[in-house]
Amino acid sequence: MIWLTWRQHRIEGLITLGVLAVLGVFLLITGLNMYHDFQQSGLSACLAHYTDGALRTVCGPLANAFGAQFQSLILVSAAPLLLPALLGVLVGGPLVAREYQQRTHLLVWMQSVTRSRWLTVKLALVLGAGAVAAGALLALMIWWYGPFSQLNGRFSPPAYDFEGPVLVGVTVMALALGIAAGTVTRRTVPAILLTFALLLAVRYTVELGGLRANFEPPIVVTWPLAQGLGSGPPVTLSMQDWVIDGGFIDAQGHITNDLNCSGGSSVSNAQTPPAIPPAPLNPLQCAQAQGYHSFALNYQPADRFWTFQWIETSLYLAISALAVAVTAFLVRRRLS
Amino acid sequence: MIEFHLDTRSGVAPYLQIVQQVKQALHLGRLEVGDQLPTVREVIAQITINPNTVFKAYRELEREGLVTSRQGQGTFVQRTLASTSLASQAALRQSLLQWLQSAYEAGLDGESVLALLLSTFQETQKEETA
Amino acid sequence: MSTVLETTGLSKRYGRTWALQDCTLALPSGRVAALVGPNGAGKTTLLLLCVGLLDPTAGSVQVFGRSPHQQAAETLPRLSFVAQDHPLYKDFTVSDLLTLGRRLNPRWDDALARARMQHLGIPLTRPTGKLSGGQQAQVALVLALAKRPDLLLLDEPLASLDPLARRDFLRTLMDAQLETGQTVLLSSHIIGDLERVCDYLIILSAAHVQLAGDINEIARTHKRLVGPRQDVAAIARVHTIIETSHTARQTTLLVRTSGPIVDTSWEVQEASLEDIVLAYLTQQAAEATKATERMQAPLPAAQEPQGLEQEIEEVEL
Repeated sequence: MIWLTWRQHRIEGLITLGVLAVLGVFLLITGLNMYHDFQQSGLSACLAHYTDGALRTVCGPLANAFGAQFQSLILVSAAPLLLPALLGVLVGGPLVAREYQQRTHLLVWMQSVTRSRWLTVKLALVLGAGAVAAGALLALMIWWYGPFSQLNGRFSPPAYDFEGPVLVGVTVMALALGIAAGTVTRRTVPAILLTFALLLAVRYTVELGGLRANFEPPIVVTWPLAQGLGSGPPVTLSMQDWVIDGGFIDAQGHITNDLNCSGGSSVSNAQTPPAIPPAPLNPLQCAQAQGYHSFALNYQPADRFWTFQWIETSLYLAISALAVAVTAFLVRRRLS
Repeated sequence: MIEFHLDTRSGVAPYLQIVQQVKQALHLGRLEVGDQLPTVREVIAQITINPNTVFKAYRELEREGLVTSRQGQGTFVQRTLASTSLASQAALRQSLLQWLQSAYEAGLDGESVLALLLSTFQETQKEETA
Repeated sequence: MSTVLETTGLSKRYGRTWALQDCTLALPSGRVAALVGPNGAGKTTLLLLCVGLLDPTAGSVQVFGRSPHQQAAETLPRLSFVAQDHPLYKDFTVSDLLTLGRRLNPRWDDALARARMQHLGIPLTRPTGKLSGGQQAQVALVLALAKRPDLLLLDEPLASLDPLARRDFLRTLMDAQLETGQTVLLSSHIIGDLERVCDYLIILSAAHVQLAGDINEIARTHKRLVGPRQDVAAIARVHTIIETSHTARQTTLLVRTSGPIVDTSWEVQEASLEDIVLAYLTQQAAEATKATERMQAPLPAAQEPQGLEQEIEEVEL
């Protein structure tokens, strides 16, 4: 059964290995270069020496120079986000679907292995291999992103997705969802589409839909408007904290960035344009005019990073378990 | 060696067809005492047939004493069916030719001759089994 | 003689349609059985139930005394199945498929498989997708045979093959039959091919078993009766009439006899297997048509002539 799984998926396995190898070499070369510059420019020493409060002022110019130099490489951080999706869609989707579509399930399930054993070995090997590949990529990315994680932090996107076990969790989930989708649709192309849709739905809900931001209730800090626009929050935040949202607090208590400084009433009568352009208000006056009284900031403190990583990984693994259960149920019950 | 053929539309059981073909070969002298019948494997290669059918046919022939099977060697003809000698067959053949001649002179065509032969033959068969 | 395959009231329903109903069979071991019937009769469903790929809605099926679906681990090694159109992994070479068989089956006879491939002239290094249809069918058969099954089931194995390929396929099957004496059940909707290789017959039509038994027995007990046109009630009292057909001067019957035919008004003829099968299927089809006709309302007679006139007009235009 192990031989069969390898024989059926050896091309996909070798391609994944190849892609990882190429990526690895690229990361190695560029990473060494970055670390070299990080040291040489004095940025490393600077960041180690000064506390976070001085970050912006003292190390700022150095940081900006460093960031500008390696800006384009940040695009590479998209790779860890693509790999799980590609694996799930292109490896997971067709895994069971192709057997149904080509009717080879009637051949392989009539050899002396039971359907349960067939599925168990396949799942174990494919999900296991996916986890290992993701783990290897994770190790590479953590090392490679080192300088940037000191500058930009790792709690906020996109770094969060490749700075912890979440990457492995997403990969396993993508594969499991793909396999389940293939078992449901029993045709390769619909399986690919369904997997893509499911992945998108889950990731959207977690990242943009606010699920991740609320794994633990965010800390909300407010300070009065009167302190001025340049004023900062009463707590000292570092780059490692994850600032989710910031702005004014409106009458309903929501954080908003709506600042309407066109002056006068916002409702203009098209037939009677104002004869005299009104005197522009300064931003503070605008804010006060709109009824805002306080600034607000909600964030997740840095010490929650690992908790969040494990909560999210567990969520993905739970979804994977559900997908595997659905697959096992359908394979046992259904024929074509 | 005798070669079998199978007529699946005749309504005659396959094993009986084999028995009949062996008997006919014996009648016509194509098989003689001591000749070996094809092995079951050879029969399958000739006509795609169930091996049990061949076994059954050979067993039937053995039961009638026409063949005998020797362990590990094959099935061999034991007794011939040509009960009349070739000479007397020649005489029969001659009288048949004469009858045919008179039938044609009486105005019968080929098909009528056959029909007459067949119906008369079947009558005699019925009398035999009755 | 033991029975290798037994079904009792076996039934399978998909949604609201019964694919198989109340099927009771007992297939003795060592037989080569033909499962015949029209398309949609339930042949594939019956075979899938026998190998455990489907589970019954009602009734039971037992192979070697066990349920193939519930006790797959025990029955699978002794069963072989070749599905319709003999599916294979198209990108696997023949050698790969043999490796698959060897690794996944405890009772695999690799030497036999290789010998047969060689005997058939099938190259081991070619991807199966590049083989001809007949060769693919042979590969599928050899894979099934090399597993050394006690029961081999084949779903319409000859359907997509040309006459030469069909003969070669059956020849391989009969060769294996000689060596192992395994039990075989193969389905087909063509009877002609099967008469020479099968010694047991199951007729399936409209999800029901119409007839099942030893072929020689069936041939012996079914006769064609030909006679002048007459009422069939007298004969019907003694024997079972399967099919009746009247012309102006002649009546032909296909009967299942329960004893010798003493009525001298009938001429008794042998019936070929194909005739017998057709008679059973025709009877079933006739009953189905009658049922449908009862459900449909008759057309008013007035419509017909008008329609004809309309047709003529259209043609002239």
